[in-house]
Amino acid sequence: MAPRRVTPSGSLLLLSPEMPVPATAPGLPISNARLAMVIFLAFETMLFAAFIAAFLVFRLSATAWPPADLPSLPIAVTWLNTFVLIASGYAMSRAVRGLRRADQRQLERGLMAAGILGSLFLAVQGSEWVRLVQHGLTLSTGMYGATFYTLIGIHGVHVLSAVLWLLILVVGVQRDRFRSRVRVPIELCAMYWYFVVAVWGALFYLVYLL
Amino acid sequence: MTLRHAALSALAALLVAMPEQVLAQGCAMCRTTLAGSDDPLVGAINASVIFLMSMPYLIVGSIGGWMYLTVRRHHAASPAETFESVEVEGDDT
Repeated sequence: MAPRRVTPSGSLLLLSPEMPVPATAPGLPISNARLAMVIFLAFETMLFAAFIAAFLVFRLSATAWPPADLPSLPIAVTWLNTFVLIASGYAMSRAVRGLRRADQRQLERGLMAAGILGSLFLAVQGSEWVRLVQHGLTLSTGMYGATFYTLIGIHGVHVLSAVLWLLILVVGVQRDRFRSRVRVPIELCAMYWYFVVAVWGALFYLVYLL
Repeated sequence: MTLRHAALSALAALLVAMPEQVLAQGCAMCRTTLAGSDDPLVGAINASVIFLMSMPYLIVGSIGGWMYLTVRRHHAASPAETFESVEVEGDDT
């Protein structure tokens, strides 16, 4: 059986479904999927930048922030929640490490931990929102409420979509183990997850601490 | 002088002759509101514009830097690797 040369168009098709497929095709330093995700994240960055720019106009021009008759934001709880999200990013990095070492257990544990911590972050955010609404801060409570709920809400939607994506991947990993169908999506999901964590750092500083 | 050169020269002359203030005008409402004002809104809008204007440069620069480093690292790790040099063992087709 003579070894056969692989052409660019057929290189991945020749691999067995049971074999771990490299995230990048042979000879290509950056895979198409990863490049597409980077471009998508660039769009996402501009989306957040536009909202942050609008927030800056209102925040920097305000003489009193928050307005005297409105509640302050819960900084202590949000600090803890920030650490929860950072921990989820660390768990995701452990999962990716497990994927690269072909360590099924580390991969599953990392993905599950990231999903649980992401869900915890969303739950705490949701409970804080309920409390703020009860204290009179709603979307229609002037620019303070509008900017807060818009910025944090958009980020929350991103975290929610990342958690859902992660759940699908966890099911896929448990069914397919290291088949080619789950490897690249896990790496893309990890990139998205790191992005969501990084954006939260900027939002937390601007909305809660500035 | 060809027609193309003439058109380009006319365009250049038009740009040079155009008053500077016309270029400086943005949104009429913003200009009316902010010109010569001590309102903190002026600084806020300026900061916001600078932030938003810098973002595309930051994004493109970051992506370009990441791609450059990735490609350089890849070539350092496998300088002679190409598609044609990759072989699959045990394939009898």
